[in-house]
Amino acid sequence: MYSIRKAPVISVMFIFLLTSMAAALTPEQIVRKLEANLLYPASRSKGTIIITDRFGERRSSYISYTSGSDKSMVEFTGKEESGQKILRLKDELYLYYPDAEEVIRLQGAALKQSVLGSDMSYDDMAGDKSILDSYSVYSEGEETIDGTNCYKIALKAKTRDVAYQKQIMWINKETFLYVKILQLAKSDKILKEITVNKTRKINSHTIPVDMIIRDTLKKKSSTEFIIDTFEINPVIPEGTFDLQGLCW
Amino acid sequence: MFYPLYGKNSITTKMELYNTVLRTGSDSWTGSGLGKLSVSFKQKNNRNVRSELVLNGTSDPATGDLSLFISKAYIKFKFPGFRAVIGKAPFSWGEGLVFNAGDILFGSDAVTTNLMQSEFQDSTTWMTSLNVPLGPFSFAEGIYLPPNILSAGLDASKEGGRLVTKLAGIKLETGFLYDGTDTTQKVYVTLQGNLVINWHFSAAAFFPKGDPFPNAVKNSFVITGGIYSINRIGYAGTLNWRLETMVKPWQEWKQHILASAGENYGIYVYPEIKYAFNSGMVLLLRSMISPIDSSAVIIPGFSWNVFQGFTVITLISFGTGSPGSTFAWKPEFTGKSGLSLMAGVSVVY
Repeated sequence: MYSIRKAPVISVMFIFLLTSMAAALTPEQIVRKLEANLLYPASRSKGTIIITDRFGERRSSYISYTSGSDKSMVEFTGKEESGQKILRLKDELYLYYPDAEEVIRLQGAALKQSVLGSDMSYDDMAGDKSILDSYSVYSEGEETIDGTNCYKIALKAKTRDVAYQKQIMWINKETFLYVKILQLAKSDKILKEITVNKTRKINSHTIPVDMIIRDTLKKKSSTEFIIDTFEINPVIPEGTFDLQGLCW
Repeated sequence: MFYPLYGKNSITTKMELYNTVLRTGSDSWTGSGLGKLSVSFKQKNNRNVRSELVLNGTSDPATGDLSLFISKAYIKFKFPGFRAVIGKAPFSWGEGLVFNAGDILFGSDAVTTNLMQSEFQDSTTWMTSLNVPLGPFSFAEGIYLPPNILSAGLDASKEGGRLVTKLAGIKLETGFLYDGTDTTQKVYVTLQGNLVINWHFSAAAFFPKGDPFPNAVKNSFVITGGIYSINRIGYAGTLNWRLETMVKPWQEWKQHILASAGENYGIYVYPEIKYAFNSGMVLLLRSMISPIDSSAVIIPGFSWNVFQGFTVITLISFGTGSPGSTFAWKPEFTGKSGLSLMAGVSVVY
């Protein structure tokens, strides 16, 4: 009788264990899900960047278009940089300065420069390049950040060719969007802290629409990225990603 | 498809105010206040039509009076298959920041370029141009530059065209311009690509009417080239650098005492390095070097975008050569300064 009664319990436990093992994601799978959430076939967004330091606030605004994994176009709309554009194709970068109608074409290392003064480079922005190409990832368990259950993932650089040798990401277990990121030097000193304040669900994607980057080495210094509008798969005007569109 | 016919206007004003101290001649010093004003009226948001009017003003150092002129006044529009520009607009053929043999209109090979200014290539001209796209990164352009009606007849107009395309990852641009003011045919070719670093190369030759072929080429042939790069340094800065050169193979290559301020040698080099901190601060060092007489003008500078639209700028310029050289510490020619300091602010609103 004992064995007959016990058998279903053991079976249920075994099935539960198997299910739990199947449900436990590896750090690589978590990072891939994070990247899948932030990759769209095409998008159009309008945003504002607010840079704050001890002298006050500076604002810049932009319109951005992306298509596929390797095309993006950013047009600055603020007074100071009005009309300046950055066109990024697979392995090229075009900078357009409207005052002189000058187009500068860059390749190679230029793709590693930051997008809109952020910590993201044009290389990072291309969807065909994964975090996993540059970093080894490790699970550091799970933690709750401001009431949100998160995976805690540590990233360690595979090469010296990245801005940060180490990063720690807290990734929302439900949306697979990061909630907080710490960016560290090789010595483990924290250089920057990124916090996502607000998100928006668009189609099946969760978009960070208000994000603050704090430079921990500087007092009262932060950069806030606010996405005012965001569309997935919009109608993108013809010629947006070519020379004629760049110079228009 | 219906496109809105309304347009959105935007007005941008830029003011630059400087105090300048400079040494003229050998030991006399002078100083002045300088002001530049630019007001831009832009019409956008109409998908097929763009227009811009820019009024520039500069202050007279002697009187302080402001003289205004039209820097840009153009309308550009596009139809299926072509686009056009009519009015006073930027002319930007070729490649190169300081040395650009492809600029066969303004001749951007001048050693006398004012390196203290914020923008080197802001020349505009009255034109009518027609641009036909031939692919994502290819187009053909025809251009007509009307004559100055007060000083010349209709035959003093300029006409030309260029073809821009990309072959095996290299941008290829070639064009010609007939200059009716001195009945000269001008041709150029420009290449731009990346081989470890970004590079550009241009060559141009002028063929004046009546000048025998070899002589014309010797007098005008110019080659310009450059390498440039933008690199992110660390997590908080960007390093930009470029190196350009201009070579005139049949100009003077032997060192001698220059007889006038306009006299040039066959080779000049322009290096520039700029480090931008993400806090809005920029440190720069630029120079114009004359290798033949071993002289240079060196310009260290600093700018800082402190508040929204407000930038502090300081530049120092000094020559290193002996008297009679291209960039002398104590120049012998009037209008040249061996040492100057400029400090000021600019505001954009």
